[in-house]
Amino acid sequence: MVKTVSQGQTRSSIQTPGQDNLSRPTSGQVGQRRRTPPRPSLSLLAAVKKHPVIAVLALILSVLAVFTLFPSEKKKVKKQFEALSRVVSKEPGENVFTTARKAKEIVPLFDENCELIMPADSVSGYFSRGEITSYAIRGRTQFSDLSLTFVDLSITFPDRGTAKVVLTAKLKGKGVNGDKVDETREVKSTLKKIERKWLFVAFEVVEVLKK
Amino acid sequence: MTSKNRLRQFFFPSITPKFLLRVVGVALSAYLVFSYVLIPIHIQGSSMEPTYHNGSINFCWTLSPLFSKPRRHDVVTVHLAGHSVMLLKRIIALEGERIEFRDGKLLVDGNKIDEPYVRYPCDWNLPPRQVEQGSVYVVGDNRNMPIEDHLFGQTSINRIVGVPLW
Repeated sequence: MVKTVSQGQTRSSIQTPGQDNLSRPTSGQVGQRRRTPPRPSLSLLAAVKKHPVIAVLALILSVLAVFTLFPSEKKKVKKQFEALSRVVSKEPGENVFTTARKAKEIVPLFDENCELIMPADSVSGYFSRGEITSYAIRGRTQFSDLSLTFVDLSITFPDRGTAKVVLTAKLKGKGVNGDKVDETREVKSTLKKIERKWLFVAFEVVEVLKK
Repeated sequence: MTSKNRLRQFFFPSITPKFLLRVVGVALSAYLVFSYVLIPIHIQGSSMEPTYHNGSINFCWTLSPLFSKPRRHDVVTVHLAGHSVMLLKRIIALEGERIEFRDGKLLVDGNKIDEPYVRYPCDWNLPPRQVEQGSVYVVGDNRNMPIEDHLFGQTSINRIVGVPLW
């Protein structure tokens, strides 16, 4: 004798020992069999309604995944500056292998020829990738520790394969002779997209204070 | 409501729509004020010693240029590419004026200018030069260093962000 009925279960579906499972369907059961299965969108909606927190988390993760896997052009340009900052910066007591690795990593950041304009230092002209690399390596040897950071990056794309960036560059370090260096300059930079990579083609130090 | 309840309500308020609206309002106001009107600044470097010390904290009052034109002896902040890093300098000459340093003394249009804020000895010499239209000439107060090591010169008035609050 069944006294209690579990939720969603009708008396007719309760089996007793020896009862045939293939009992004749009622008219209602026939109707259920003919009905098409619920559409996935409805079940998704039901799942969202049932677990809203998980749904929101999944949505956030999806958006993050899309942004990580498909970075915008602005992000790619920013990454080039981050890479330049990383390879120029120097930790105190940097070993020879790290120095060699960083020197190698500088090369692919620049185009074949890069224009440098530094009015305060009377530098203006085009320099080859090799020249820039050797200047950078030579410059790094003058410091026991060095940090180059870029802030306030304002990136614009005047045409499809060109990026113009205005930024503030902060160079902080300690020379091998113990002199402290703390320079901040406004810089205008141009990058070109060559073979799907953003490469530096020009750097101009802006003279904010003209003596 | 007893005082104990009031205190409790103050520190642990009920999360009502009105309360949330108030929180959003306060956060938004604070963001706007401290991003655009009173920008917090941390002074690094000794170029403005002894007026402003290395490591001190201040605020940049950005509404000042709206109310008054830059004047000689005003201390101003000059922006670079953005507002993350700014230069703190003093205006010593205005547009069209002729500026010169002779044995550490400032001369504007040939007249010696008294600078009570310069406390350290200075022996700078700079040939005369004219300040361009739309520009001002700015220098730090600490001139007890070689002239080559001090960052100074003329800059566009449009680069002036504001003045330090104190």
